[in-house]
Amino acid sequence: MTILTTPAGIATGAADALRKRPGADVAGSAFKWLLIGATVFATGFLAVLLAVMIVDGWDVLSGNLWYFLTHGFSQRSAGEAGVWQGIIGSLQVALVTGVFAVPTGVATAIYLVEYAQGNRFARIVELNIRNLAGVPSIVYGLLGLAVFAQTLRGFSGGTTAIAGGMTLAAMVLPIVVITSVEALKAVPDSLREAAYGVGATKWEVLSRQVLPAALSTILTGTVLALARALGEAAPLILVGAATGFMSFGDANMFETFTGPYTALPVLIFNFARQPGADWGVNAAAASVIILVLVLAVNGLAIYLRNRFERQW
Amino acid sequence: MRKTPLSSRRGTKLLVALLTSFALAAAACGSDDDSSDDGAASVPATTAAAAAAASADDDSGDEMMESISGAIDVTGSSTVEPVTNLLAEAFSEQHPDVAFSVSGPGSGDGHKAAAAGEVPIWNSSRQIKDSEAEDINAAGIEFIELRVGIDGISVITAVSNDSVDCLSFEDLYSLVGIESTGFGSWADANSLNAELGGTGPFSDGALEIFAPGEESGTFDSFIEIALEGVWEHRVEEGHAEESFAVRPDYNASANDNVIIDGIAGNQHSLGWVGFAFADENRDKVKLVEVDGGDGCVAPTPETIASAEFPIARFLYTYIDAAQASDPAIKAFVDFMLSDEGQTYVVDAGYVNLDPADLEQSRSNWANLTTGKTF
Repeated sequence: MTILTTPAGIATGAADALRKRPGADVAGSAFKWLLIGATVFATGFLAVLLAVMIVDGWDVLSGNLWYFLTHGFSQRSAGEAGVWQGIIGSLQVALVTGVFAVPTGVATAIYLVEYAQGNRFARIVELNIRNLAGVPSIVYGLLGLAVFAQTLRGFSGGTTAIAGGMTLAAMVLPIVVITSVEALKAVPDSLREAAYGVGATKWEVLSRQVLPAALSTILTGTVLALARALGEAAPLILVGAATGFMSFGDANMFETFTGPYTALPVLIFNFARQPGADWGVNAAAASVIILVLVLAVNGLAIYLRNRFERQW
Repeated sequence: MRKTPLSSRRGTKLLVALLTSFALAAAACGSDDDSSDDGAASVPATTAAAAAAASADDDSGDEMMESISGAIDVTGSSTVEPVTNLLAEAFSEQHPDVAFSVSGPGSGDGHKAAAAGEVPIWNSSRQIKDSEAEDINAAGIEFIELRVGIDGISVITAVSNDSVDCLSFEDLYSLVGIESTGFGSWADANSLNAELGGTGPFSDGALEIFAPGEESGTFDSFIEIALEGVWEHRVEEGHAEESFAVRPDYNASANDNVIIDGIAGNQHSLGWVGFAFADENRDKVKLVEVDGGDGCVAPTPETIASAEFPIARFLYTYIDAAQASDPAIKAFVDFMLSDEGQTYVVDAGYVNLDPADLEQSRSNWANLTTGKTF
């Protein structure tokens, strides 16, 4: 028997003692097993999906992976096609998405929480942003085509990686705003009050105390939003991502952002609709690659959270 | 007790580090890409010369072959997209400096993108509609029309099926049209067939249908060419529903191999696939003759090119006349109409044009003839 010294320890000890009575908490243990079942189902689903894709794509993943990763699309045969341009394109689009969505989203959240907190305008804006998060991605594709690719053609260069990235930025913006709002709301008011109490200005309170404290959650939300953007095909196809052959031509690194582009999910869509089983292998292999990419991004989110998380 | 709050400097550093690493990743990708392009650029000096020789009707081609750069966007029909992909791929090997983007959202989307001034070249698996041509012209764009190939569709059954040799459009409608929904055997279709004046009665057998699904261009073409005539007539008479021409209860697959296997595995099966694919699988499937009103015709490259075989449609490419003089676009279209370029039509599973049609396309292009010409 451990020595009970803290209130929490005493409570735990009391709970342990209660639990030892057989049949005392049937509903509790039934609930526990229900939760375990749900968890197993959820992770099992992912495991089966991953296993099926790895098995289906094994021919490419085991024998041909390097070629597959370093070559562009080819119509000639499934064996000659690769996902190189899709990987580049996905990174480009994600970069543009991040550049547009993160500052805008975080700034919106700071305004809503720190400046407009509680007023009618802020509440209406927040409600609308939450509703926007539920709009289907294809709708953002239509918006992107009309606004970013056509109206803002002078800036984006037409149907380019910039237009595609801005479209996805619009799509994930609500997610960035919502997670950032929650992160800022989670910072205790006592922190702000203490800072004001020692004479800090609003700018100092925000930049020295509140933002650093909320940073880990904001980063986690942002990275998860980017992970979602990485997996989107439908809006990009509408905003002119090449489903077929593409080439950057003699464009330099910067010019590729305003030239033709494609993305991994778009290539998967293309592989999947080609007739013939060997194209299916490519589609599965490309799916595994995008999953690895998304898992890596999510892993980064977890790392960031653990690295900068603060307890209150 | 609280931990010391994270200093703002640390937070800023982290943000900077993140952005930098992102930028570096993009830079690494970009520069890798450049180097691979350079690598490709050094190869095709001889191939470029060969292409110049192969490219027909191209007097100024030789000096242009040296260093063409520019951007070519092609959109439109998903049926024609594979041909363009193969052409673009071969063209790119000779002219690595040309940027390419090929996509295939659909014929109608191609004409729309053209009317919005978004693309210099767009494909269509049917001839442009007058309304679409008007929209494009209204935007101040003149187009050059080219026929590039033929999409022939074969009606197929199992090799072992001796009871079917030739089917008319009426027969096809009575077997796979909307009014045949639920027919599980060939005999079920007999009364409808007789009503339509088909060639039946059919000898009985379990009717198993394998064909492309709705998302396929081959599905659309088959309905448009083989079923729609009879179907529209039946709708007018009040027998058939107006919404859908084909029976929904068949084995639909996007994968032609699945269709071929399904047909081969069922003696009394019926289905349709692109001609080139059926032709490649003559050991497994039997290509049924089709009577479009002028007698039974067997599908062969010759009967398809001459339009004797009734289930075939022309594939078109349209070019914005104002951009026809762009060096990259000129070289690409020259390549498309060259003898070498035309081999990719067959590689993509379609049938080459009749020489007269090809000549018409070439002269449209050489003379920059605008408007509908076929």
